[in-house]
Amino acid sequence: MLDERTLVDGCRNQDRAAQRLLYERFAGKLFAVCKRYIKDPDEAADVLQDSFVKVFRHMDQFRFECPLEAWLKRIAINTALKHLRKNKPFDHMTDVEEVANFLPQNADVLPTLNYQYLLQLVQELPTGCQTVFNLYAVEGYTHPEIAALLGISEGTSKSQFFRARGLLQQKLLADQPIRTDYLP
Amino acid sequence: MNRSNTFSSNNPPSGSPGVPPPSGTPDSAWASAFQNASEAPPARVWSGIERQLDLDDEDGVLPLLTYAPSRSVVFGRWVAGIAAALLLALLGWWSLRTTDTNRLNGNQLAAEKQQKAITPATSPTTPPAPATGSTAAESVARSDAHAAAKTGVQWPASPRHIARIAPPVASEKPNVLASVVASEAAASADTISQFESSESVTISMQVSVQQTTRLASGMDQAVRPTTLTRAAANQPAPVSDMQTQLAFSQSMHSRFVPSATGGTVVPPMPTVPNGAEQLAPALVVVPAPAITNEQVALYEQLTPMIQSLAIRELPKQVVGNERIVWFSPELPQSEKMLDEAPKSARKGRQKAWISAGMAASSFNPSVAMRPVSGLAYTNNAPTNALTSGAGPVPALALDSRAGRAIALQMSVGIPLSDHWTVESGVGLLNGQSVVQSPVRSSALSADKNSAAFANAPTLYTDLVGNSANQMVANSALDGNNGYTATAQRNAFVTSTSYDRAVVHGVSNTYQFVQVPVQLSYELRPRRKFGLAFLTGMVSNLFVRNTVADAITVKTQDGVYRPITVAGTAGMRLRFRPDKHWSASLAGTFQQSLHSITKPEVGVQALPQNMGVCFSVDRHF
Repeated sequence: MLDERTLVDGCRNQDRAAQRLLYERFAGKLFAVCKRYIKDPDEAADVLQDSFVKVFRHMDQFRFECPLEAWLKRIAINTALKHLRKNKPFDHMTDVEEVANFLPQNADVLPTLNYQYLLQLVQELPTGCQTVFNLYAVEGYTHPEIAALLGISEGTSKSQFFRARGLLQQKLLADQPIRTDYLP
Repeated sequence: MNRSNTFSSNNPPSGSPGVPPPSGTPDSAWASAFQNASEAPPARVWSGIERQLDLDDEDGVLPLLTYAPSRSVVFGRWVAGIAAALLLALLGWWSLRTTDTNRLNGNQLAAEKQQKAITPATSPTTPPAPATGSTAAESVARSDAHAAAKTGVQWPASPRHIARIAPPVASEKPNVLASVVASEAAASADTISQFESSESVTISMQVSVQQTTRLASGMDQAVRPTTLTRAAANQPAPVSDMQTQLAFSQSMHSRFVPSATGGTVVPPMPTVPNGAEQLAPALVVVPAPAITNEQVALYEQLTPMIQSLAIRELPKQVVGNERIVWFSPELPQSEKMLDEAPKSARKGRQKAWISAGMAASSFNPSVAMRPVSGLAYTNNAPTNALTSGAGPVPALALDSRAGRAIALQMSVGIPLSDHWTVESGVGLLNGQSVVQSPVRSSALSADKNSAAFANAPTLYTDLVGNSANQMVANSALDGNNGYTATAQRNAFVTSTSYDRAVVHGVSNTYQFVQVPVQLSYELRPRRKFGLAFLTGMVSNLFVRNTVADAITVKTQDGVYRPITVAGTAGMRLRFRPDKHWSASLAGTFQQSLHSITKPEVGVQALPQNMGVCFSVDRHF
């Protein structure tokens, strides 16, 4: 298996085989990222395509100062956010913290659930909640950072996150007693 | 959770377009749930990526079959590929046949020439004179050529052919070869050079390996006792070297074959005998002449020359596809930098393009009367109606009607940046128009339906014709109205009037060579559809104007300026389905910035040209 540096060098030289290898190595993970942000699978595939095109066109900017996968994921996230901004889903989000601290942590529950079910849960969230939740809980962005990324206030980011978490908790509690097929 | 609430990007990884790295800590439960998640994307994603990348890449051959993803086009690609393969195979087969035929004909011609050249000296019935000294090799060549002509054997044209076809016999008999070469030392340098340069040096290639070996064996026995060779010192020569020497050995061996009468006879080389046994009786072992020191020295001198004739190994042609190595082994950093530098330099540079197109436009020369004060010729005609009073002059007017024009254009575009491009080229414009002009009064007496009236001189033809010294002669009308040949040149100034009420349309056919220099700004230059705004200047090189199908005015006639300048502006829509090819549809407008006629001419013209241009572009 080729190392990342060789792959990156090949992609910088516009080597189609290297690009293909890079795509095959990371497309699955990036597609999962895209599907966490984009509900429609076809649109997620489009975002993935745009992400890789960006990657290949800007490969010269990657200087191995961070893991390649992290760099690729951020590009995919950025592309997904750009795609989401076209529909302006964040314009109508309010900062009412209606569900703050609704439920306790769910760390003990999640490991028992499989990926597809969790993805479904996240995708069923409203777009704004879904985006903030992904950025905060999964990617690790802070609320000020999310506010800057989405062009919303920090309070809105917080409220959307807590709302998302509350909705997820409700779904988890509602489904878990009867949905044993979600277990891995 | 322990989170940092500051939006910090203290050490942002380079090249993360738009999204800074997260400075907080993800929810470990959710992050772990999604961290290694992977889903197979649809297959269309990669094809879409390739399609977009292809627009940036440089390679690509066919303009129409490389981008469309539909199944029909994919099928079309297969069909095109198969057709191309068949075509290439056919061309290759034809080329091989043609080459072989040419080679055969050329060698036969050479053999025939040789035969004609030596026929008086060597006849089949008369033994040739002994070949001695520097003419020995010539005799060999002649005799071999003669044999070739007689037998129709195809001879190789040069020692290279020998080495290509000859099996590695030399490796079996190095002593023979070396010894024969040593014997060749008796020959002069002229012989060697003649051997080297002569295309007709003929050595039987039909002799089999065994025959050659056997012949060499005979020679081996003949010359072994007295030779000073590399083989004698147990130093086998390289194969290529020996192959070269084999050529010599085969050409020289006949020198040592004695005739029945004791002389050194050059026997014709056999064609394809059934066996070497047929040759064996002809080979008589004779003691080789003693090798003198001079010969040894000459051999040492000739050895580098012989080695320089070593046949290079032919490149091996691999049947089928060669393996494509996508990754080269790790290069040293310096070489890698050298390798990458031009590519990175190329990446930022846009590609030039050339274009060929045709334009259809509306062409209006905007012909008008020049103010009378500018008419030099009126000074000689104070009675001229045009100048006799202030009144009539403005009344006489020319009206120009637009006609159609066709232009063929070739242009080249050199991008200055992503959006800006400078374009230039050359084009040939053929524009037609009609000038409504008052008819000369003398023509009014003719029948209105007659051809003479239809072709009657007009103010415009007189103005142009007078300036071009090609005054329109309407002999019938002029004769009837007192016009004389000497008066024709100044007919319009001596005539009393042009009838303003009777106007004829005078056709004009202009031809210009156009050299535009334009600057364009293109929107979305990397996309399939691009919109460009053009502006610039066009140099119009006047070629000719045919007036009323009777007067052909050229540059040297002094009516039109050789070069005029026009301003141009336009807009171009470009469709670029392929990274190398595009089609463009442009709307352009040209306005001459000054009159295309010279100041002393009574008419002025400021052509306007407005139309559309369709072109096909090739991008590099």
